[in-house]
Amino acid sequence: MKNTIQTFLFLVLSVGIAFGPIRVTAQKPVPHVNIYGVENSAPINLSGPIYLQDSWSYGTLYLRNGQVADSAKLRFNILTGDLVFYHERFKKYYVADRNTFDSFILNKARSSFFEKYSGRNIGQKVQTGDLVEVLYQNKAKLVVKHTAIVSERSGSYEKDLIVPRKYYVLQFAGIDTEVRLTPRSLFSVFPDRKKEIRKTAARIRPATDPLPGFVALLENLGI
Amino acid sequence: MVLDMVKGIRTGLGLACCLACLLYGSEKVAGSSRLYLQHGKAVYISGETIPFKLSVRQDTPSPLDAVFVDLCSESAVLSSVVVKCSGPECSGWIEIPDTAQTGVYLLRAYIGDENGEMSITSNLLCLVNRFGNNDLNERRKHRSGSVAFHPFYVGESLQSPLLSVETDREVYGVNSPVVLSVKNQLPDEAGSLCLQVYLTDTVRTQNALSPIPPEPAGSREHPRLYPYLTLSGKLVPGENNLPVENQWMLLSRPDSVANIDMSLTDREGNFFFVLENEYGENEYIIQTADTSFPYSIEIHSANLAPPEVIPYYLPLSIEKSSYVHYSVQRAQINKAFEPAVETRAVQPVFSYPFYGIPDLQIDPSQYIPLTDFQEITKEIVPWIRYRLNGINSEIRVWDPSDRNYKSNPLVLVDGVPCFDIRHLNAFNSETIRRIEVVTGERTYGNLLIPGLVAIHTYAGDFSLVPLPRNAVNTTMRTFSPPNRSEEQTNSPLKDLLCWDPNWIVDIEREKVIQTSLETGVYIAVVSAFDRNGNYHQARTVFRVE
Repeated sequence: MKNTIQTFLFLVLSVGIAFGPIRVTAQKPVPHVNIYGVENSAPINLSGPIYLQDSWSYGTLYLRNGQVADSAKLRFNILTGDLVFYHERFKKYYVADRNTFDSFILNKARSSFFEKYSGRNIGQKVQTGDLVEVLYQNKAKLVVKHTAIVSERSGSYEKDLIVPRKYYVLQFAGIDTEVRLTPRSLFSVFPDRKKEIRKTAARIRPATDPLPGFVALLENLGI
Repeated sequence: MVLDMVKGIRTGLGLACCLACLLYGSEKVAGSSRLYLQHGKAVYISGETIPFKLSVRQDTPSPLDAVFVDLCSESAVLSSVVVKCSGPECSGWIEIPDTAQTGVYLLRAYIGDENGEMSITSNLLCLVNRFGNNDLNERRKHRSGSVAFHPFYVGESLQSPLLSVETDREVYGVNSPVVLSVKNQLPDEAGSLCLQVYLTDTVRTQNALSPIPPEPAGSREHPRLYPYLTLSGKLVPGENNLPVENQWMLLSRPDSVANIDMSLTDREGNFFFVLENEYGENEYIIQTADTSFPYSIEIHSANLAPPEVIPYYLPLSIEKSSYVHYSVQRAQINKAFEPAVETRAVQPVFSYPFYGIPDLQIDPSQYIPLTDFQEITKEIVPWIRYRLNGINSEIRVWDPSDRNYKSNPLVLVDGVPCFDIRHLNAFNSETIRRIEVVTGERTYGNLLIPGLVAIHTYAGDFSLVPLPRNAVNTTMRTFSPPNRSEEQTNSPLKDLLCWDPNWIVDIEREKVIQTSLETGVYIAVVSAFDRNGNYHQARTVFRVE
């Protein structure tokens, strides 16, 4: 009887302690990171994807004052080339002021790092200060500008269509060249290494998706 | 049977209590840190600087930005520095004011952990006024309970078996090299060694009382202290029991570049702002974002209160000793050789108004002089409607998306939010340097800006407008010590031959130091605090003739 009561009490109390209320220690005070944004005006009478992603992605915004805004709900507007963030408190989305940040990361299926383009202007396609995604960086840097054009529809009841476009720029030795994701487009950048580029491309055999193949080609060429 | 049951219950309770102790007793407070302080020599003269080393030993590494160091007298802080400390060890120096009287002072360093809990350490040090002012020491001598303090106490029992230091000779000439060889068997995590070589008194008082720093009074009342620069306070309701929770507090600084920080109050009305890269003497204005109800704001001091009593005095034998006499003479000579203080190069911080590039920027000096703000807005600033209606005034800003004028824009004067716009009418072309207008709805963190009017005055210090309602201003003086080389002075007379707070010694290493024209007995002390905070010390003595 005595042993039974002892065991029973021990079990009851120890279970109560082990699964009882968890002690909550004070959280580390984190400085409040303020993102500055302008009211977003959605385009009207347009159809097609406005944003790079289908839904919001949680990203990181590196502000120019050194602060880092983590877990911000971000989206990239390809029509205007702006970064849009969702304000949890006001339940609205705003365009982040480009003057207040340097770069950002969008975390979706893969992490995409965006920064401001600092090379020479490629016509009207890619200009200094545009937000470009960095795809590859070694001795050379491959960036892509996600943008869109508006295609006018002839029908009177049809909305104009947003057609996504991508412009790839290879930055190497201070020279910025627009490239298409083909081995041949590297010839103009590396005219002395045409044979090597052909051989390497034949060995790698880029898959149906040209981007990984092109990045692998750059890696194998040691560029 | 009943007795057995009672015994059983008692034993069960005992076992459960033991288990509870095991579960909770071993839990350590996250981020709790221990702080250790070392400083240069035995006796300082007013006007000199005190080099110090701080070692922070933390259970869990946490971000560390600021360590507060101050030199305290009774109920007064003589000087203070905020040391930027990015690693487990950092060093700096603190100035002794020329006005500091002869006596025993407290050098202390303190820091807060992530939970705001304070960690403090302090050392007693002896200070002699070079102009002979020793009133403070005389008063302490006659106070009951005061104990004589012997600055040359070195603590024989502190000699560590894991550390040793030797010189190649016992007697050296002036201006000759001294070779110090150190054997270090301390574990790697002990950090770097601190080497100090200084002139000591020929009659060392080894059997004197071990100095125990007094408990700094007022430290317990300090609410929170974080390991970085913070400005904290409490929102107090005015008349009625107004809610103090979830109120947005705005921190701004009168500046030509407007920047606002926000903080949300907790249940008790406490708020705090992290001040990053804010070193120097700055004025801050803290106010509530909601001005519809009266509140008052209490600002907590970032510095601890000085100790009320330091129960030590400098005995006459030391005060009148030849050592102190020559030290004062040397300090007077060294003043002539004192190098210019090099200030720490402040890293350029991105400085940009929080509202970005304004849509409109007007410089009233480009136009004919206008007498009041109403005239300025009417004549030279488009997109703003300012109307003075008796004692009330209204300001509206054009919103291009609504194609209408929106009321209640955020008005900034010298970067400080000004919710009472009646005072604006006094501004004219002579006082306004420029006006910036931002149209359309914006957001800055949790601050919704329906439109913005920023007025920058020639004064630039928010002095032309009275302090807004529910606002308080405070001044914080924080600075980090400038970089100082090992050679602190070019004087031919040195009593501190070497102060190397970050000497990395693998196992055995030699160091060559140079003697000066100052003759006497020197002591070389090599010391370190290991990971557990145990103090290891080795020392050797040599003569310079």
